[in-house]
Amino acid sequence: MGRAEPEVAVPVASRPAAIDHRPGRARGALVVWLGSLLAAVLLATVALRALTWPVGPLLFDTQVEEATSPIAFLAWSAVGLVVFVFSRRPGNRIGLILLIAGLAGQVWVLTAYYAALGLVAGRTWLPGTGQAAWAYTWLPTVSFGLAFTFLFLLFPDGRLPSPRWRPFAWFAGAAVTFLLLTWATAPGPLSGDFDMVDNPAGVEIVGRLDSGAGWVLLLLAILGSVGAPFVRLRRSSGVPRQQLKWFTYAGVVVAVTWVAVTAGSAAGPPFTTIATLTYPIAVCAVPLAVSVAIFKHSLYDIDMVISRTIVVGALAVLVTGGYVAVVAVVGTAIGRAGETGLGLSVLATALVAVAFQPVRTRVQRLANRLVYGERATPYEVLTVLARRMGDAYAAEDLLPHLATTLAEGTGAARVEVWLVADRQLHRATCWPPDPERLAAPLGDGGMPAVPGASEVAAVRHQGALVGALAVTLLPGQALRRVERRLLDDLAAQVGVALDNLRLIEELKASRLRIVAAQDEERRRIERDIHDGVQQRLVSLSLALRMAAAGQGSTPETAVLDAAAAEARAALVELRRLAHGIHPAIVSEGGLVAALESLAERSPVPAEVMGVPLERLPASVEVSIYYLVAEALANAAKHAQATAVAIKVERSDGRVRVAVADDGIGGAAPGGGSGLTGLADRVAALDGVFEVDSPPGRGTRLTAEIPCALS
Amino acid sequence: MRVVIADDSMLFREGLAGLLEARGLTVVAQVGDADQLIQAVGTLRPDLVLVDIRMPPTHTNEGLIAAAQLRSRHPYAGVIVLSHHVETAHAAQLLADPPRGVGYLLKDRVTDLDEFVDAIRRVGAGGSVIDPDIVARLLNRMRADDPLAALTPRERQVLGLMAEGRSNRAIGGLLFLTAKTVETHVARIFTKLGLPPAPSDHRRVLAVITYLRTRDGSTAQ
Repeated sequence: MGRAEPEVAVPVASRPAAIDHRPGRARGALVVWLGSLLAAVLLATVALRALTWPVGPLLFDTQVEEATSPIAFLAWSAVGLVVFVFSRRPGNRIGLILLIAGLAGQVWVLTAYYAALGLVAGRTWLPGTGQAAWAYTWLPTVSFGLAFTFLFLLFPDGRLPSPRWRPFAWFAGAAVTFLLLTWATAPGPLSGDFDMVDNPAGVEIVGRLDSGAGWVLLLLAILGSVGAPFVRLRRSSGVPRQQLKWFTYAGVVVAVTWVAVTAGSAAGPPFTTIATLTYPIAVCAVPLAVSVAIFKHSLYDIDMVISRTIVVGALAVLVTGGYVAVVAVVGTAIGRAGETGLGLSVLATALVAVAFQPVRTRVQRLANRLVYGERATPYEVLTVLARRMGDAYAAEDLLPHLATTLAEGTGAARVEVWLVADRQLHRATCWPPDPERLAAPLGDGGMPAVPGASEVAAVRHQGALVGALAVTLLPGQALRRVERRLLDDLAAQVGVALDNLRLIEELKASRLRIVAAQDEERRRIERDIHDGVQQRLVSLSLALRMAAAGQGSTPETAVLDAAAAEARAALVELRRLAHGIHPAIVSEGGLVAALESLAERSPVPAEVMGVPLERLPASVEVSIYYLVAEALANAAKHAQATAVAIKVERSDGRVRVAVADDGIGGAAPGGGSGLTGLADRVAALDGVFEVDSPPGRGTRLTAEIPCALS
Repeated sequence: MRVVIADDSMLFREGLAGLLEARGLTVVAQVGDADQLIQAVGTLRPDLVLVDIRMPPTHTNEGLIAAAQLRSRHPYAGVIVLSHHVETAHAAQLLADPPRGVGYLLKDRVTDLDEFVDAIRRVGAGGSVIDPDIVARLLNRMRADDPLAALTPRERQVLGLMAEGRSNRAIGGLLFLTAKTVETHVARIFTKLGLPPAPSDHRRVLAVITYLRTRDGSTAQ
């Protein structure tokens, strides 16, 4: 496949394999060419088989198997072709393996018929029949060698489960290559059906290597490779896990069918036919599962397929076994089974049918436990939650614990905890984690209406609705009575806790509102001074100047000039006052300009470093300004500092401010200083404020405030 | 000289217009917001625009934005931005545009009529005027290892007047020095601070203000 594609390092986990919709003529042409090749091989196979019909079964024991096998191989190569060409990068290697394995199988059948036509059916004039017979001996090694090792190792992302698998992958590659070489170069007559021909590529030295060793190596490689999907299954989650389940499911189906076929073949003609027909069809399951896993994993629910398969399979076994048992036991008792056949059959059917329903329920529960995992008992769940509530009472911890606990206890696909605030439901946490903020209206009659949830339990405290627990189940599942009771019990237990959380959240919100209102109030006062008094004083000075300008130099002029100077002095004072109330420069010029402006006025030399240039929320900017202003004032008044460094940086949605001086230290946040107010302000913004002021070693104020970009 | 006044206080506009008219300037329009200002300048083509920094709708820096727009669209008109408190960042922003005919003054400067009309004439003629408050703040800003410490008190005075946008002749007049002496001071200041000689007065303002804001490696832009 000389298909050049740029090698791009893509983090696989972040990009689930999916159909690549990019248009591409090269892509289309590739499909047409390779597709035509696959079709041509199949047509040639059919034609050759027609010509060699008199020879009888060649490759397999029966004609049926001979008819179905090429179709199975075609399924592999066709799916491989589609996956190879159309999936995004991660699927390419998987597609390539399927394609090569399938094509090798197809060509294998073709070479067999061609060689048979020349060597067995007497068309001796055909060229290259010896080579075809030779290829026939080793092509299957390519096919199953790849399918049973690298397909298992690399599915679904085209990479090994971890770098530690690398030596094993080399071993598997070496094992396949070794077996291939010993088969292809064994000297003397070809093994199998075409022993009338000597190996055209026979090499004496290689031939002496024992091909039995090759089989052992390959068997080891296969055993190890088959482990890879199971290792992945244990580690993976989300999309790759679903993909792996499809693949493993298909693998298990093939394995079970193979066992059934082997056992069935021994049972006699009708079973043999069914078995030989079933096996190639089962083999088709692998490429089908791969294509579903890569393209459509979100469309079908594999868990349900597996669970239903287990149920149906187990029931089939039980029903058949039950039927046979009833017939055998009752028939023996009566002694003349042959004559009362009809009545006995009816009786057996009725007995089995009566037993069917309860057995089905049991089996279904067992299957669910196998597929969805073990569930904790409600008592365990409540105990664990009680302990967790005791351990971690922090708001951030409790709710995720609650959700996880509930998920473990009910086997739900999704658990949400909702809190009531502002007469609305707000989603406080979700399992599996989902950071999206959701809100929902309160339902009528006090029952919260949570969108998408299968079951909802209202959480009340002193009769008032404080929240809700919502459980979303997998399709086809329902809460058992004991699980529903667990949901209700939990809802009853967490009333106090949720109410406390609600109060904390309300308190935080109100504190934030107070800070914002204070900022707004200060801004309003500053603007009132600016637009009112300041403006009027300027106009007053202007009027006084005008009055003075009209006269010559008289005593009245002197009075007017003095009045104008007084108004001017008032303006200067007012300006200082207004600036202290609200620094207009923060909203006008941003934090950079505002902090520079502070540094310019500072009596202690101050430098500003690394200020974020993008605008932050107003309350955050103003708070940083106040903090730096307070720190500079302290440095000048109390600290006897000679230099101050101001540093502001923004990362991960948080802004960090640090103001450090080289003064005498010993500043305490408690002592009625402006530091207490700053600490409260930063805390209201959900930030962290610290004063580090060891005596004699300078003072360092730091604050870290979460902030989204405004 | 034809002047347009933009300020949202009618009282202030009327008062200022009266005073300017009395001083022989022609006030061709008085407007209350930035949109009206830009429209008026487009049609009336004044020599100078006086604009308050805070105007409707947000009362923050509309005047500054309007000034930048006017200076790119109508470079022939000088612009003086007035504000109740001056910030060096704003001054730097105004000077960063093509340094021609720009001023930035405290609003109360209008009451000192002689000085104010002189500033108007200088900006109208293409010069730059920076408020003495800003210059004082920049000169007095404490720095560790300040290169300004190498200047004599007289040189500091001359540097301050240069930063305000005064010409050598004006500096000489204010300090009672001959033009030649001022030139000597200026040359010495530029050498001591390591500044390249500036070809014209307004470029000199930009160079000096920029230098004062960023001396000794501070990160201010």
